[in-house]
Amino acid sequence: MRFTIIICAVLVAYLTPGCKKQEYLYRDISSRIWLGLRTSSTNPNPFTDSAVTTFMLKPATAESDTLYIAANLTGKPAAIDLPFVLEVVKDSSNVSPADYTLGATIMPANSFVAMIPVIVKKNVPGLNLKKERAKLVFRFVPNEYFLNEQPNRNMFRLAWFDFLARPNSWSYIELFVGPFSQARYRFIIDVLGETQFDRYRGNLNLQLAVQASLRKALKDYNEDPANAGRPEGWPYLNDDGTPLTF
Amino acid sequence: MKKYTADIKTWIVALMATGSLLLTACHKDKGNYDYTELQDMYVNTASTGRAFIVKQFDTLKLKSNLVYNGDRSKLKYSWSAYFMVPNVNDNLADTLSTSEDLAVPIPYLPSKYYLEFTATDSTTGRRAAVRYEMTVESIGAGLLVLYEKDGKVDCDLIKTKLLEGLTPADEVVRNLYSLANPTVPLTGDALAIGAFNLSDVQYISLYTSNNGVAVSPADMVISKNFKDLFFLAPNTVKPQGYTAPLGFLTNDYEFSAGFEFLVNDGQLYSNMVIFAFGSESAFSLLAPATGNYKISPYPIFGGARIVVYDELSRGFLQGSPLGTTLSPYVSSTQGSPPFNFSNIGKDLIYLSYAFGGTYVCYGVFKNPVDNGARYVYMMDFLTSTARAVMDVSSLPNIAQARLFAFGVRGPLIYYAAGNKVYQIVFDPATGTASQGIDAWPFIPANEEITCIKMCPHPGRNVSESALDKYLMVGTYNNSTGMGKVYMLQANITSGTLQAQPAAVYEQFGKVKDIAFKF
Repeated sequence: MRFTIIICAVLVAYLTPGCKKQEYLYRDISSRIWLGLRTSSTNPNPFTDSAVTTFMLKPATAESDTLYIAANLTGKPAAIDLPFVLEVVKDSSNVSPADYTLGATIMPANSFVAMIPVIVKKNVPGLNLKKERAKLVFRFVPNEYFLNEQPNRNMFRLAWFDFLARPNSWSYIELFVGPFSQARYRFIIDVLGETQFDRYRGNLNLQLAVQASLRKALKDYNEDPANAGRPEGWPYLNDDGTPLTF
Repeated sequence: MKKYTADIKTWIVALMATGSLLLTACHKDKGNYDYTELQDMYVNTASTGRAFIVKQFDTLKLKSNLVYNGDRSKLKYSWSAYFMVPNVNDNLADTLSTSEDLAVPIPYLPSKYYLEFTATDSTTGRRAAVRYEMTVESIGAGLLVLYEKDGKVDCDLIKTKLLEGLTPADEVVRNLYSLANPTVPLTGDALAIGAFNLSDVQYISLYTSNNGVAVSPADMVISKNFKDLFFLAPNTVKPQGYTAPLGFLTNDYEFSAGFEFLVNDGQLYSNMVIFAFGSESAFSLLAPATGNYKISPYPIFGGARIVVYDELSRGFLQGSPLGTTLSPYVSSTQGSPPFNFSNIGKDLIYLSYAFGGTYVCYGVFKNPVDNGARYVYMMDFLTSTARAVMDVSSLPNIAQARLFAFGVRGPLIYYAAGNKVYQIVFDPATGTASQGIDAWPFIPANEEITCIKMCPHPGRNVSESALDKYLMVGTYNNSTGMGKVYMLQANITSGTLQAQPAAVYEQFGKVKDIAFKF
């Protein structure tokens, strides 16, 4: 009997750890993270390491907007969500933590990409977003789950402001619509609803079409007396106060 | 404790009992069922074979050849088709019919398909099936005929040996548009049809008085709706004229010249497809920088310029193919009598390419002030030269004529009024018209001519060029609601039309336009 009791005690002692909640001890040293958003579905390059928004293209009532940081996994995805760390690069940023809200920095289970939301505010004390940009730069910091992929791909830059900035793709239409100006861009957005112009690259057909359409729209605007007194001017004015042309 | 041991007798009894139990497994199970004899149920393909070729849009008729002596009212049928080689992007699987015998048009893209017939007894689940190999061939080249019928606009394709020498026999493929787009009918007055072909950019355009679409030449399915044809779609949908010059301007008749023009609600839209370099292209507005205007439905590409007639100023406007505005077209005034393109002062009835040079055009005008006298203006838009003005007011029924056709290889001018086709005999050197003759008095009185056009294509694999060789005459019989297309052979020099038509095709509606499909 005494022997039986001893045996049972030993078995219970062995089984007791099974009641303890399991803690994953996961570390795959091949798992790395780099920051950047691929701009092509077929080519790993190019990618962009920044996200920009302007409140000029948002409803007037919008007080905040959401930008996304793209974190990419190189290596084997884990079966569970795993946290990673982003830190603010203070030397390159000009906002305070009160001016934005960083979402949870987690690489989802079985995923190669995490899109981390960052809610940015239209009103940033100390900055006039009508004239200058709010800048916020994050750097990836290795932790126990993820190493850094490449030193030149460990930063992601966010910027927001309340004016119209020249998009890079403006160069594809510049010959046909003229040099960038806030008024010209505003007019194009109002007429075409387009803020990016990549589809015009190397397409003379569309480049002529955009010019013809804008000329017609400007002519219609300038010939309509109902536009008298509008803040855009009548005739429609460019940034320097002269009549807008295309 | 007493140890139990069995004696040998007990063992033998136990073994026999076990053995007898096991032996029951050897008993044949005769069951307790009511068996009935199964009816034959199979598809007999001995007479049909298992592979066949069908032309796109042809109606495929195939009997099921199902052998079954049971109750056929309980059978459900299915004819389905799918690609022989599955396509990752477009793995068609389509039920063609649920009738026992197949009789449906085949709208699929040219390719190889499996066609599967299945008959299933809905009560027992028993079924018979057979799989055929079906090759769908392209409808190929021919003449697209745009017509109105039963309140809708549709098009047929005439496959004719006159234009494609390798065509085994003339045939007409019917209802191309409506079969491919059954839920998007075209209505209104049929206006124009054209087949655009510039390298990999290929589409067929159909315009009516209240709509316009581009369809794929492969399956005739809509690729662009009206608003998608434009960079910025106009608010008013009112197509009035469409032109997509053939490559004859560069002596390449298999391809379009690279651009197309559309007049919608009195405004000109140009689509310089050639400048898109194979990418996205669209119609965009080409308008005068200032002032009111109303563009006539006959835009012309005149070499280095786009030329249109403004019905308000009664003069021609021009624009650069690389420009976005129209301006008055000031020309040489050396014509006989001299005239200036920007000040014709008459109403344009018809304008098209004609004999005398690559960009020579004739325009038929009505004078708005002297009892509507009719004139033919001869103009060279390449050199901006006014050539001549012919007064044709005295020609028979010219005042009633709305339909005209000009030859580009010879001095041919035809016009139609009622059921008559007339030829204007004229001297292109002096610009004088000697007479108008009843050129083909054989169209029945109950038919009205609704379209005349010179064949714009030289043909393929034909012994001599078909370009300008045939005057295509579309007609409509109001009492029967049916139309015809007459192919009349023209003498390229004298313009005389042979009494015997080269071909006559029937069973259309009111024919409004004809175009060559590549």
